[in-house]
Amino acid sequence: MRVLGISAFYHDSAAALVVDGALVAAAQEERFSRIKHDPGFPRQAIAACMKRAGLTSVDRVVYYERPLPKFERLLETWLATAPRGFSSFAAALPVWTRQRLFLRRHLRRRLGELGIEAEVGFASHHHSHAASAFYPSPFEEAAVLTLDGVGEWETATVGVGRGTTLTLEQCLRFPHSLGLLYSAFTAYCGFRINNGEYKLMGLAASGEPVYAQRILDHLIDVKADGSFRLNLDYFGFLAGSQMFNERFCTLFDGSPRVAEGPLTKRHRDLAASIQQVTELVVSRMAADAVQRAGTRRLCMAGGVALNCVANGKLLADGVVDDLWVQPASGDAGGAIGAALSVARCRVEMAGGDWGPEQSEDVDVQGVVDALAAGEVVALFQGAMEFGPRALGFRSILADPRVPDMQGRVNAMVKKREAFRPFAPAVLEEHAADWFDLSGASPYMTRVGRVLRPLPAVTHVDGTARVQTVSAARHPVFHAVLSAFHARTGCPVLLNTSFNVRGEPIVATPEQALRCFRSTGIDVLALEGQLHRK
Amino acid sequence: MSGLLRLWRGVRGGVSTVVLALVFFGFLTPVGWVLRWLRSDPLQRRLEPDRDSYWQARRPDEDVGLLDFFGARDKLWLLPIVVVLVTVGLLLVISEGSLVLTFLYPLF
Repeated sequence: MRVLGISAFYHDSAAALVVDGALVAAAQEERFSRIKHDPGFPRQAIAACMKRAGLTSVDRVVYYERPLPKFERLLETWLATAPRGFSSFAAALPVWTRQRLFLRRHLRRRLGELGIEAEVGFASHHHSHAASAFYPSPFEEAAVLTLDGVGEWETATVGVGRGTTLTLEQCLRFPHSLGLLYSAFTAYCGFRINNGEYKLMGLAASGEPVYAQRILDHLIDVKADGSFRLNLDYFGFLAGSQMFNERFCTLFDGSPRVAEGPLTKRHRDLAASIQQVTELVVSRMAADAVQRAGTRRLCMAGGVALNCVANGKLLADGVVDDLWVQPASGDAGGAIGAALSVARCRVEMAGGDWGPEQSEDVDVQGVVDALAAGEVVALFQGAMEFGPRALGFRSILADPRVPDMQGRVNAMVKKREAFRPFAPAVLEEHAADWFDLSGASPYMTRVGRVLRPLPAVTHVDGTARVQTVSAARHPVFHAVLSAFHARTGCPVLLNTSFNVRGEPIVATPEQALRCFRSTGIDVLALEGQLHRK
Repeated sequence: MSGLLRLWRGVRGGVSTVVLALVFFGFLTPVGWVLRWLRSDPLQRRLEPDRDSYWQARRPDEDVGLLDFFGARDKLWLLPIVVVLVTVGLLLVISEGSLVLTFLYPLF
């Protein structure tokens, strides 16, 4: 059976193809449209998936969310908050009547434009997340936990996966959402919601969680099993367009930070505090989930599962024995999960390179010469990564031992906040000598302590978000790292996504050349050649 | 021409907002008031310190139509509200390309 999964119309539109029990292609629309987090119909992503799979038709199309319960939630929310909430109503009603309430027909029409005629079905948002977490995991049996902002009604679910059966038993419902709570602090600290959450997580490492108790006393009632409710007196998202309200500001000693404004100790402390509360909730939920499931293994997905610091604590504190997090835990991964909800088969994420295929030729020796000389190298090879992280296919690489390398890469291309660290990629066989990780992290979903001096990739708290690179999953990147290791004795490279700030990761050789020319990157490795300025 | 077009768009946008406001404040709001008086806490906003857990049983996934969906949730009474909203929404959408219907707006 050929199943096309689609995520669209909210954020991070994407498409994924599962054919005869195997994942064969997946891509995010933003990489083609060049609009970050593009929410539109994933026309080009679908076309790219069909091309990679060599298909012109499919048997089933599955959208990652159910429109009816979502409309019910909107309606119930308007009824519960009116006369407040008019702006939400005025924005939503035309869109829903034009398109979303008749989504099956709308999708059929848009797919028809691409020459795809197939039955269109729906999977629930959290079942899509859960399927994207369990079916590609290496576990025969595992507890499953999903956490995000909100799907239709649900904001969190727990369940269990066995073989090809996935059952979600319990849930929490809107407006009680850990994702929305984290987003409220993201907005309050002056970052964009659905985008700046990982900046808040990065900021947390440099603060003290002095507000954590205040959050627990006033904003959230957490039970021993991790389930919770929010105190809606402090939030604006039910009826307004703002996440938090005046009472929230009073509780946290002042007005919100304006975007790009100065970051003070208060903001760092707020970040550390909400991070600590998030870790508490995730840890209790995970403990409860594995206990219910009768196994010590856990799979996670949903936007909150991108909080790799919280995930890392689950392993470090022994809450679970093993953990697998869907690398595309946000809504893009919902496309994979929607397809798997119907296909119900175990698949492999492999290298995570499920996008359009390009040349794998790399002048490895030339790349390593440049890196060893302290140059910054953009590496473009093979198929494009699916998910938010660059895994060595569309990556910018540099020597992580050079103390000012973080500043250099930032100045020449990434232009991001100085507090945000770059990530290391390490040869899997040497990972244990350099990082305190519990197990492999091929998709950069785990955080571990840095054991040897690597100033350019070490966060203020001495940790790093690591990609472990094996010859099986990432052969070309493994060859580059091996050659760098042979030359310098260091099996680690700084690895950051190949894009400039505010843009999606480059997708094509042309985009790679354009990005290379418009930035200070020293060398571009593309199609077997080394480009210099 | 572009000036006229802009004026036309402005008028259309203004009329849309007025219609939406009439529906929201004149219809949804009073219905909401009555419902809040009849039902307690449909969004489960209340904190319950004495409970051991807030987890709730999850409804199995089902791909069903409008009637079955609201029927299975004892929410068939929501349907008339849905019908009113969808009717208004559709008229707004259809009128996007039509001058005639714009002047029907005042009838609502």
